[in-house]
Amino acid sequence: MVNVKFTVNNREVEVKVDPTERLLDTLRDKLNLTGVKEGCAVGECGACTVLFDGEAMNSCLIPTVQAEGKEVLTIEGLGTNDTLDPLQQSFIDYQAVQCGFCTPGMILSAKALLNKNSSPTREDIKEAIDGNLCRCTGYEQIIQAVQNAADGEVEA
Amino acid sequence: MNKELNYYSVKEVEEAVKLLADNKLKLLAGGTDFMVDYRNEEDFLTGYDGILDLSNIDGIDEITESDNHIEIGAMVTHKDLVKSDLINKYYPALAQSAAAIGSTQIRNRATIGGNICNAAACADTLGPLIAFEARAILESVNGKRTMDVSEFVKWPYETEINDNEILISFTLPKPEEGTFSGFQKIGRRQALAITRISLAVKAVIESGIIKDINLVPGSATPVPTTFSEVEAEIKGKKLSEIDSKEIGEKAAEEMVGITGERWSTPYKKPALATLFRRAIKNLQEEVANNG
Repeated sequence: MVNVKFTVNNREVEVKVDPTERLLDTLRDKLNLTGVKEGCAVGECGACTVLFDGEAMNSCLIPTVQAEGKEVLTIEGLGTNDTLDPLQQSFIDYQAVQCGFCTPGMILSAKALLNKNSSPTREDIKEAIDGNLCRCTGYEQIIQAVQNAADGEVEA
Repeated sequence: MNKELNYYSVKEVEEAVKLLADNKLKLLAGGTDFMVDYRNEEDFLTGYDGILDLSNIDGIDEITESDNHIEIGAMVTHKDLVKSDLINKYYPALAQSAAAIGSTQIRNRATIGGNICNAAACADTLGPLIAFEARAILESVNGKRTMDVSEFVKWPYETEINDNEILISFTLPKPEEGTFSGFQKIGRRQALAITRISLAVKAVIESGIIKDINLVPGSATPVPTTFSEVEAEIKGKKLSEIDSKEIGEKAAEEMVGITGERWSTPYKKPALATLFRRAIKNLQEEVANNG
């Protein structure tokens, strides 16, 4: 077993893991961060997306040992129960959530984009969420929610 | 269940190759293939003493420029390739192939060294590396050796790398003046699609004449290779006079000459012909506009 120290949602954590343990499992099972979802487990659906040193990545494809010294952000670290992140509020306002399973990953992919680009084009948004599948909304409301959160013009 | 595996993460290539000399270790780069294969293949780590993580080794995640070459570290990610000014300036086809891979999340994590060492027939960066005549640099306790990337991949998922070696980087000669390049792929949809068939092109055009051309399709042959018959057909000719449709048909024939008729041939022949036709047309347009 390997000791790994890293930061999750601005909190220092230390875990003992097998070298093949996925960050997804560490977050869900050891750190109780169940906002991270397991969908396909092969990096195609994006439900397990987290920000890893600020970049959107699939936590199902990251061995936890590679998180040593890194900063991880999950949906639990975005906003609080009283004050939502503008992206979270925008997803509600634009009804970009139906079943909700893809939502944490979707919001984090969008967050990674907005952190770097405060006025993304529609194409930028589509590229940022190209690794996140949503089988309910048809993506349109999601794109609008991101545009709105970015203070961009929302195309109807 | 596997016995408990050792995990090694070191800072220097020197330390890494020493560990590899003394232990049988599975190399871990970005993990995007590793983690899927580990879960799918029961014997993925059977017989290994442990895992050697390359992600903390200094200096192999950079793109550097020298007088005549660009060196791309094996741990450079696809995102790095897409964003790199040097790659976009000298090797647009490589940047385009990296942009075509997976999704944002995969491109942020997956490395070019991992893509080549995994050596899928559909590995998107392989074709452009071969087209640009890249060489792979391998290191072990015995020192370094280099080989053409076109020789490095022997068969799908099989490379020339020895158990005691690490792929450190790729060196690419800087293209001569008048070089144009491009990459196209056909997948089932835009994002996250495994390449059904692709084509990397590098051409040197001088006064409208094709001085040199490398055409490397991906997923068309077991290992991507330059299509030398088609290249010979085109070389020395005036670009504007080339019949792109005819070249497409010849490329399809050359593919069948290599692979024989397979179950996928009825799909791949017209698909490859179309890619070649488009590539020649794009080249003609680009040269007409910028040449």
